[in-house]
Amino acid sequence: MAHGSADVAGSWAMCVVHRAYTVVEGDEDMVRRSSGHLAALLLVTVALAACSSEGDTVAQDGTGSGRGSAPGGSVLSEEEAFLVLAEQQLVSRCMRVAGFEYVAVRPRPSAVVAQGSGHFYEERSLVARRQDGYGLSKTASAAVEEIPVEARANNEIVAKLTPAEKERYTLTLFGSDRTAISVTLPSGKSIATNSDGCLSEARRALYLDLERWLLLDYIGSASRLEINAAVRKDERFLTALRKWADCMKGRGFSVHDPGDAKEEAAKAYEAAGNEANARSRELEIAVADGECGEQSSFYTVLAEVEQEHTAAVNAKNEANVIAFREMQAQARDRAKRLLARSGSGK
Amino acid sequence: MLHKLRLTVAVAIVGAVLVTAPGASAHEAGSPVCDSGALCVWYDTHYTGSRFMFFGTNSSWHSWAIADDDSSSKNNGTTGLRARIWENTSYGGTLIECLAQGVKVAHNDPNDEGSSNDWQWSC
Repeated sequence: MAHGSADVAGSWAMCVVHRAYTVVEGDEDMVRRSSGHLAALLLVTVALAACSSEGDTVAQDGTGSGRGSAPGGSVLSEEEAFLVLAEQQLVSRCMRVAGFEYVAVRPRPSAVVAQGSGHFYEERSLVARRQDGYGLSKTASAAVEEIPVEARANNEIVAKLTPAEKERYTLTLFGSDRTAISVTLPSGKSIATNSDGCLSEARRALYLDLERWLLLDYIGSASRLEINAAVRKDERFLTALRKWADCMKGRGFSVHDPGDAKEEAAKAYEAAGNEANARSRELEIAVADGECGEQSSFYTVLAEVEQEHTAAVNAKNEANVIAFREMQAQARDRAKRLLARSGSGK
Repeated sequence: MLHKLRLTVAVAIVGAVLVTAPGASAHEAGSPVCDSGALCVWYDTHYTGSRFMFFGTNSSWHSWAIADDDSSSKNNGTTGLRARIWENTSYGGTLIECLAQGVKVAHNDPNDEGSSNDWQWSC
């Protein structure tokens, strides 16, 4: 821990000198495991093993972030919720050993809602566009910025800490950037996580191999991102999009894509006291978007391309997704043993 | 990515707290460190450039000089929630990133596309 604390302090000091515009030494892509890391890892491992179940702090989550759901949103299965809670309970124990309170939040699958569907721009009928634009006026008044209720307990605990304690809390929970490991996804994208700290130690206890977890969790959980990326690069999609954008330009709207168009409409609501004008502009843009969609066949092409890439990505990732499910099943068994051993199985 | 005009503007306000709204605050400091509880987003790759810390659900990043300019990101949230980044405001357009707690990306892909963020148990 002391070694890691020095790392964080060092990073801050470097930041003061270099400000924001230099590549800071210690970036995870350049750093490999060190003997110091191994020592820190051992310390956390011992701490985790020594954890007792007494006083586990577990909270039931509320109703999500309360912004309404959308079709095709994310869903957490009971089995996945169990694993999330198990991981958080192991983190909680590890944090307690280090002197910090950490509330393990129990996800409630039925409360899991998505803010958006994650899919590409969803087609909306011209009739709906003429009546209600993108439907922004209905959501604008309900759009209250808030911290998701699930995140509040620990954020409130952190808020009460001194700056030095906060620094140590972050290091204890997330580890040091110096210990970062990274994996390259089949798409070529690279993701990373620190390999020490309570969070990674809990994952290692559940999944055994942290690198493998990092890879399979991302592939198994975020295939939507890969599908979106493939669609973005598809020439059929790009051609239809250019036609759509040309049509929109002809109608006086200089936007790159339907997301841009919707955003342009939403900006009108940001001007306080301009509700009527904002709605009028929203309808104007949304209808032009829909009509240009018909004229360019953009939404038809998009649906075909998206369906094709969804099937391709799912087929490509099938083996990894199966491996991910197996890893999760083994982790559940391991979690039951780990938690039961200390009298806190779920 | 490294050559971004708005960076010049950001020089003057490094370290300043730009906006604090209920549940939605962003700080700009230019540090690779990410506070506990935050989704941290950096202007440049490898966690460099101006840093913004989003502690809650934010329907629009346009109040800050990071919208459509994000190049690296890290989820230091204090629950098992995943941090999700959206292409457009109000969680619209496509989902462009979904990071598990403690996971980070040194080079966002897609790059310079984020406009809003939320937190969910799954992607």
